[in-house]
Amino acid sequence: MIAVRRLSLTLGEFVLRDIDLDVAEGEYFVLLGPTGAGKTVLLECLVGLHRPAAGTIRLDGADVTSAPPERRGIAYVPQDYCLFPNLTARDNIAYGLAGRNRPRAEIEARTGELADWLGVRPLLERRPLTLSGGEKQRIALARALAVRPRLLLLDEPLAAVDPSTRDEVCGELKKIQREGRTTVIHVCHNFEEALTVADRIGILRDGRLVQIGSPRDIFRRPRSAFVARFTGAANLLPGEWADGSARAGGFRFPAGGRKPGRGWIVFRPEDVEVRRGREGAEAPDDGEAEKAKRTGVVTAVSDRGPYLRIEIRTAEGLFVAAVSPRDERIGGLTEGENVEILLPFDRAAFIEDADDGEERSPRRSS
Amino acid sequence: MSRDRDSGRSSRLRAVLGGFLFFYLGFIVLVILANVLWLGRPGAGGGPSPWTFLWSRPDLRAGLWSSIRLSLVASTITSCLAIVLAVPSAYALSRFRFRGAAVIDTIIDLPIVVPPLLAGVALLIFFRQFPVGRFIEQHIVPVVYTRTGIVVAQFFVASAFSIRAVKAAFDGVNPRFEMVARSLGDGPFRAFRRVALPLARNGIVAGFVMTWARAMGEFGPIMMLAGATPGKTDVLSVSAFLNMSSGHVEASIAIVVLMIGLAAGALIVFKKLGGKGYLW
Repeated sequence: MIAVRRLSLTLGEFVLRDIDLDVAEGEYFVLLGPTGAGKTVLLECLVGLHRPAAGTIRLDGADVTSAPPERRGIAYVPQDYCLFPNLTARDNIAYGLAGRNRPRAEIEARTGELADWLGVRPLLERRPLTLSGGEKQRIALARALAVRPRLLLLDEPLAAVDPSTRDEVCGELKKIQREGRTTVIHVCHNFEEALTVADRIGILRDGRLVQIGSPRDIFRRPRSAFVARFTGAANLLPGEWADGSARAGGFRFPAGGRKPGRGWIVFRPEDVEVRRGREGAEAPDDGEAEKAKRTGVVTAVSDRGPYLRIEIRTAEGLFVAAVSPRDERIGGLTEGENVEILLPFDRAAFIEDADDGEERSPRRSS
Repeated sequence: MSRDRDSGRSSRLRAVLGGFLFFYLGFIVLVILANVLWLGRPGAGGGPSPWTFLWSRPDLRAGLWSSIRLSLVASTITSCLAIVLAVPSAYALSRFRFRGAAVIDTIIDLPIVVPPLLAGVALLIFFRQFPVGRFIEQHIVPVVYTRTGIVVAQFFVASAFSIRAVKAAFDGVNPRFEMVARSLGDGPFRAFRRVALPLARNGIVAGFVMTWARAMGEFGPIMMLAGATPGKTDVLSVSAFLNMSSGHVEASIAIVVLMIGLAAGALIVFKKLGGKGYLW
């Protein structure tokens, strides 16, 4: 549907480097990255706001790299929605069709149809200033969809949405994609949000797409320390592996038929098991067992509602575990207690990456 | 305790700052008051007040009316021309990044900053001594010492105001609006007409009002380029000057009071419309 090849652009302090991106017809693609990674700039490049310094953008095979926005058929909902403040909600939705001099009956029919679909009919005579964030967003979506775009671009659509209605809005966006058979590219910085809606996710860091894959894929097989950290895989052990076995710190465990390499061995917090330990007892390091055991001291416990986030200091460093608050083995766990942690080898992700993936230069929001 | 001291200090600070502010404010108000009161004060030896005297002289009154008419017509023509020029120019300055933009910006501000009288001298040289100006003068429209000259002199200065004010209006419109309009199918012209123009409308009207007020008050360049011929090129400001020179102070002061009223009205409209970016 849309095919981006080796796209590069410098815009002030934002840089895009060699972006390769394909989004298929009807797909919901999420561009995920920290603030300042260039997500909005990439989106604006696709709309036609910036001309890339190099590279091509093809839409259904046609090169649109230097086509003006009005010839692309890409609709765009900016982060602040940009509803025309001088027009009613109705006229906002009708804007694109009115500009194409469509018959009035057609404009009214399409506006009404979208208003019903998105549940905004009672708002049609209101001006944007009098609308809430969520209402504005629906009007902006309707305005974008009214022209039946080939591709819909959403910039941080959940940024201004109340957390309690987040799931509802996500559902709405999925409905637009599925029932409206729209291809969507959605920009956000929140991995959970991406997981909820995405068919595929592309992760952007410092203007480069560092990994593209299904949410599962990115969740389970991060290809860099950065992606691992960004998706919440908090436990990164520097290690190396060769001949079917891996070493990381004091751990030794099977590494399958992996090619020799060095980098990071990653455990997601929810894969780390925590048990109450016996005072001062060092667990035996049964190297080739299913799980590596370590003892440590709890340094923090925070209740995140659905799970408890526990930080444990061990001889190998700090581990983060996410455990169910119903887990009876750790009921009433407090700071300072001795615990045993178990790392299941089969859940480990291996990353060949010299970089530690820490964010060094946080930059201005796009 | 320390809160009391702090609030004591802060109220003393307020008093000091207020003192400075009110000093200037009082100065302005007293000057205005002096002129208004002067018009109504009893004449020397119990004679008529200057205002009554003015009304008793049909010749002075007629001159005043013709000056008012001339000023209104000339300033309105000038402001219309200036705004027609300013809307596209200001949009270009606001939206496009191009080389030399800073230089262009500076050149456009020059007519505002150059002393007005000298701007008039410069215009005179242009129309009398420079081939382009001479060509216009001889083959298109005579400018020097004509009523056309009034509009040209006003236009030269006032256009800079228009561009400033209208550019501020366009700067206040997020370009993303036009971007969204274009993603919905509008070409650049249509996006300008349907989005940028309506959203900048108040600022443009405010700019028009300010340009008009400035044109009404223009004096130096008109004196130089159009001359000060009574009954021909004596717009209000020129007329005030001529009346001062010929001893008809009451007519001058009447113009002063009228102009203060117009200026206040223009400022109120300008600010009500949220106008920005003026620079006298």
